[in-house]
Order: sequence, then C-alpha cells, then structure tokens
Amino acid sequence: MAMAEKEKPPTFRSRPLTLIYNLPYGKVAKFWEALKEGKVITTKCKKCGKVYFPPQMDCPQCMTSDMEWIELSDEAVLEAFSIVVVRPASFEKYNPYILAIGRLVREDVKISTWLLDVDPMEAAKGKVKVGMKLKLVVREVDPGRPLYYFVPAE
Amino acid sequence: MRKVAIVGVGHSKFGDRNDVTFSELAWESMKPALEDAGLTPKDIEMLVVGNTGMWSEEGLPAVVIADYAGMSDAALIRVEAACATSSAALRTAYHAIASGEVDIAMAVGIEKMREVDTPIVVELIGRAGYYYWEFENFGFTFPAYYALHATAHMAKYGTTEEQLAMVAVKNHKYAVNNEYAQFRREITVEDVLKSRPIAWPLKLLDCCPITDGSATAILAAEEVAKKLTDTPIWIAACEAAGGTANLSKRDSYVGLRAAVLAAQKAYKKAKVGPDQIDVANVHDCFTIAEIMAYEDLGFCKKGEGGKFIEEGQSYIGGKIPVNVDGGLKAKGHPIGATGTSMIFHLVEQLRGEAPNQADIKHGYALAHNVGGTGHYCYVTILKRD
Repeated sequence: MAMAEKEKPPTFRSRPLTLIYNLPYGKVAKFWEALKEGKVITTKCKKCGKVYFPPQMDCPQCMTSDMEWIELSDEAVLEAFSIVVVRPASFEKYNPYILAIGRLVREDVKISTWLLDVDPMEAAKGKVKVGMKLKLVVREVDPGRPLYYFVPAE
Repeated sequence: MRKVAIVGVGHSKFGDRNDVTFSELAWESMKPALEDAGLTPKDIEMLVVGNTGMWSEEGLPAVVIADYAGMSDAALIRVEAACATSSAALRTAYHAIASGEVDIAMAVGIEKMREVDTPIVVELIGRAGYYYWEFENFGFTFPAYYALHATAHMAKYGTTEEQLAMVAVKNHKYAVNNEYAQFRREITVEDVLKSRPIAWPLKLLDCCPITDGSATAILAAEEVAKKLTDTPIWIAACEAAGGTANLSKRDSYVGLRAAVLAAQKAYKKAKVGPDQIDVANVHDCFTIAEIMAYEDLGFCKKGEGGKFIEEGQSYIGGKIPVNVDGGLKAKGHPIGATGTSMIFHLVEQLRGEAPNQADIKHGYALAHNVGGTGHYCYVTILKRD
C-alpha cells in the first residue's frame, strides 16, 4: 500500500506524572497471609452461606459482616481463556501469558487468573480447551510474591 | 415525563487528531450540531460532557469545553460510563429535559486517546474492569476480556475465526463512504486471519483502533423541538443496565447480561420488538462483540450470531443492517465519543441522509453501546414521525 508517512503535527511534551496507589488490604489480610502458607482461602457468609471470591467482609444480601474464612478446594473447570500477546506497559517484562477463568467444582465460584505450565504458543493450537479440568495452585511467579494460579489437572 | 427529540447532531473526523487540542476537537462536533439545530451556544441550558479521560490532560473536561465554546454559564456536568460514556451523557441530558428541568441540552462525547503512547493506553484501558483483583496481579487487558468471550462462544456454538473476521470485513466496507471514519479501506477475511495476534483468538484486525474524536447531539423538549425542526428524531427509549466488575462473577461468557437487560427495558419502553428496528449501531469494539450483540438484542437466536454474519444478514438488504457507518472497528472508537457517534449516524439514517442508507420501513433505529466488557450497557431507540 502506497501510504506516505504523514508529518507529525507539532505538540508540547507535558509535565510527567507518576501515579502509584497504596492499596489497602487490612480487612482481608488473612487471604494474603494464607497464600504465604500455600493456601487459597475466602469468605463465606455465616447467615446465608454464600461463598465470596474475591473475599469480602460484607454480605450485601444479608446486610451482615459476620463472615467466616474457608479454604477453597482445588478442582476446577475452564470456562474461558485468552493468550495475551500485547501486554500492558506494566506487564511488558513477562512473556505472553494465558488468562483463564475457571469454575471451582465444589464451591461453584469462579476465579480469574493465569493458566501456568502450558506454552502459550501451544495453547492456541488446541492444547487448552474450554471445559478442560484445572487445578488451583499457589505459586511464586514473581519470587516472594505467592499468588493463586491454575494449572492443567492432567 | 415530557417527550424529548434530537434536533441537531455533529461529528468530528475520527483518527489520530494530534493536530488539534481537546477543546478544538470538541468544537468540531459542537459547531455543526448547533448549526444543524439553528441554535447558538447561549441557547444551551445544560451541557453534559461524556469523557472517560486519563489519556488526555484535562481533569475538568466539561469546564474547559464550555469555556472554549462560550457556554460557561450553562449547567455543566461530566459523566463516565467507560466506552458507553456518551450514551450516559445522552441519557443525562434526556432526563433533564423529560423531567421538565430544562428545555434544551447538549450531549458532547469526546475522547483524545493518542496523546500518550500505545502501551500506556493498553495499561489504562485494561484497568477498566476490577483493577484490584483482575489487573494488579494478572494484567487482564481489554482485548483479552473479549477474547475470553470469543473462546467460550467458539467452544459452545462452533463460532469460527472466519466468522469473526467477516464482521470486520463488513464494517470496513461501509466505512469507505463515511468521511468521518478513521479507516476508509476495504479488507478481506484473509487480511484479518493473517494479522498479528493481540489477545488470541483476537487478532489486530478483529480489534477497533485507538482513536481521537468527538460527536454531539442537541436535545429539546417537544414544543421547542417542533419549532426548531420539521424532522425531530424522538428518543423512544434510552435504557441502561450494569454488569459485575469482576469478570469471574459472570454467569456465562457467551453474551453480555447487561446488554440483554438494557435491550429488554428499551424494547418495552419504546413498545417495539427487534423486528421493527430498521437499522442498528452495535458496540463492535471487537468482532466477537458484534456477534454477541446480534444475539443479545434478539436479531437472531442465541448461538447463531456467527451464522447471521456469514449469511450477510447484517448488511444493507439483509434482515437488519448493522454498523453501516463502519462501526467502532473501522470508523474508530474514541471511547467517550462512541455513543453520540452512534446517535449521529442513526439520526442521519432516520432523516434519510446517511452515506450508506438503509431502507427505513418502521421508522425505528437502535444504538447498543457497551461500557467496559458488559460493565455498562446503554440501549437507545430512536423514532421518526
């Protein structure tokens, strides 16, 4: 296609702005502490029994904050996935990664995270399929920062 | 509630608009809208600015636009609903008039996304979900949110990458005649399939571009509208619904619940069904989104969206022409301007002045504007007398 590179119009560079937020986690600190022990826990309303993931300390259904912590099971089924090739600026240091939403069979809650132990290039060729069985694990993709991930169950 | 009509519309050229400032770009659509309505800036009682921001420098967009346009005395408000931002602006203006508070209001949609580098745009738009749980640790991106729906839809209904590509081919074809469109060139299914992956299975040509642009609609109460124009375009319904911030809390990934709910409310309010819609603009930020929109709006049965495009049912001459202005895909998607851009096009259609004119039989047109990934959905139905 014969498209001449258009001359860029004149612009000023603005003053730079760096934004870093402090994200409070005090109310669900137990969740992050449990990850350090290799466990994924979440909250359950003592009144109606609803399991929340991500964990939250308020049940808007019952208008109560009387919640208990439960450990999640690890058996899941893949509901949807994608291979992220074009990464956000703050994720450019990683290789392309596979995003997955899996449904925990026992609790019937869904989790959004990465699917590990599969080459992203192979995932597009049928290695990853909606409906496949997954296992919920705790790993340190970034050393010293344990998080919850899925891996193929078989 | 009073009847409300659209009495003037305007549109800027969409694309890389670093040739103009934020306010200059807004005025590019405000001026023709005022001329279309036969009004001056002093006639506008309320100015509603739809702008998502972050990538542009202005923190108070409504204020700077009003200053530039000589409207600082008007009631000013800025609204945000992600990619449905200016549909939210339209709805706010509509409510102000319907309630009797004001007689004339302007809804301006504007977005200037190209003042920052592309990875920053990917970063900022990826945060448009639940930052804390889905972005901070896992880097969900906007194309990926829709790609999740694509893999689910393909697995459940056998929708193919070729069918996704056909949506892009249609929208590029129609953009050729749209003087405001960012891309005015045709593409083929092969071009789409061969383009580089962004968030597999979505490839570059499955995705809308990063765009600057503005679009404006002027609304008036019934008695005022009838004095201003012989062709008022009535707002028969402007309804909205939301969806969970966490994608993990959705019931399924083969459609958008917010769209289904907003459409049900809009059809009920306007007392019409999908069969009476002559032409529609739907939110095709990614090709899978248009296929899900056919289904969520009832243009075809659930799961048959792929077949619908393959059969050419969304072309002019098909069951219902969709995005015949080029859609977000080829016209471009300045996110805060997209809602009023859809309205601009549908007003042209109902007036019989569109570059790619559909056959108007029943007198109804529908705009489906999704914010985020079904985090918001606005469905507006317009009617001509």
